[in-house]
Parts: sequence; C-alpha cells; structure tokens
Amino acid sequence: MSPIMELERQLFGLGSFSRRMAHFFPEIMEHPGVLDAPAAPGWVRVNVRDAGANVVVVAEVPGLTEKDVTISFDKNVLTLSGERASTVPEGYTAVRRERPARTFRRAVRFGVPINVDAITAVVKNGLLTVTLPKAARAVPRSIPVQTVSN
Amino acid sequence: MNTAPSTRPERAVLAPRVDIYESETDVLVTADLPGVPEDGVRLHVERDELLLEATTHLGDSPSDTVAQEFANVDYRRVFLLPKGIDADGITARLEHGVLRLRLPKAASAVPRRIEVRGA
Repeated sequence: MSPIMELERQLFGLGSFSRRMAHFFPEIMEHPGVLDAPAAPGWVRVNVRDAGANVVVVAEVPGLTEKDVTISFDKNVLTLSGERASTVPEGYTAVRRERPARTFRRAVRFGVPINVDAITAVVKNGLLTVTLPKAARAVPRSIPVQTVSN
Repeated sequence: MNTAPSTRPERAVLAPRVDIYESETDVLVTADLPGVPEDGVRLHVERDELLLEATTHLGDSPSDTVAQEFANVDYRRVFLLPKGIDADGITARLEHGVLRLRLPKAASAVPRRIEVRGA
C-alpha cells in the first residue's frame, strides 16, 4: 500500500471498509468497486448504494455546482471529475487557508448493465447525486405466486 | 433528565475546513459543510467566541450501502473573535454546501483616513 493510500486509510478508516462491502455485493461492484482513492484526503469522497432499480452514487463536492462537474460513463465505469478554484476575495488578505484549489477524479465500476441514456445527476447542499438506472433485465423483481383453487 | 436511548446512530464530530480572509472593514469565514441543509447550521456567539455547529442529512439507509467513504457527521468549530467585531452584525449564508460568514468590524475598529486639507 502506498504511503498516501495508507494515510487516507488511517485518516478515514474507509478503504478496507469499502473493499469489504464490495466483497458482499459482487454482482454490483467488481472488486474493489470504487476504483481509486481521493487524490487528497477527503476530496472528494463517494458513497455507493444499491436502491433496487437504481444504483446511486453520492459525492461530496462543497462549493461546486452542476456546471463545475463532469460525469461520464464508459465501459461500465462511471467517472466524476471537476475542479474548485480558490481565490482571495478582492480587497481581502488571507488569514488562514484550509480549502486550496483542487481538482478531482473518481471512478466507480459497475458489474450490472446500466441504462446509460437514463442516468441523471443533481447537486444539492454540496452533494453530487448520480442516479444510474439498471437496465431492465438487471432489475430484481419478484414474481407473484397465485393460489389456484379448483 | 431524559435518558431514553437514542435510536440515531452515533455521529462523528469533525472540524470543518475553513478559509479566513480579512479586510479593513470585515472578516470573512468560509467553511465546507457538504451534506448540511439550510436548517442544519447553528451559530452562537458568547463573549469573544463564535461557535459553529452543523449537522448533515445524507438520508442514506445503511442496508443498501455498497461502498461508503463518508457518513453523517456533526461539524463543530469554535473561533476566537478578534477584538472590535460587531457580533450583532454577523451574517451567514449557506450555498452549495459552503457556509460564508461575514463578521463586520465595529466602526471604532475600522481605520479611518483623515484627510489633511491645505489652508
């Protein structure tokens, strides 16, 4: 494990967790599912959940709007990328800066077929939510069993 | 005292990342609060301290989680107000998960230029 990956793991204790979770959902996420680690600690972090008909990916993108993020889906890999500038407001001097300019790129691999044309994304409260509908044949369904009375 | 057990899972408490800028007339504080809705921020001034508290609402149900790098948290950070801040004039705006605080300096603390006129 690289020193940066190790630092990330120590800071957030998440790498092993997400890999462990991916192990239990091999049909959704090929190991390790989320293909990479954030380039900088906490920037940006992603969650993935399986909501039955959709897979939902949520990423923390404080300060970004729809036009600041680029979303692509190719060969079953969802890629989120973008950047946030950091400029000192005119007439001010910086006293403390913990939010430097940053770029990000995260990738999530899917093991289920996705209806690519129906992918939607919204940004709200600093969270980017990408909803990826599964292709119809991949949506789990229950088949009702009818009781036949003679 | 109410000692009923909470059903809410325990949340981590994190200090949000901030930028602080200063001009002759005010101080700006910018804090990253991803996942915090407008009603999730609380600001409290007591003496020379400004307390910022915020709560995320991710709305995830843990049962369907496939991979998780972040969870609901409580953000908390205390700032020591510099002398000469007009606490009543502090304004706050939450936009795209970023909180922007403006702390105006009291009129007496704003340096004034006194023009010297020729006779």
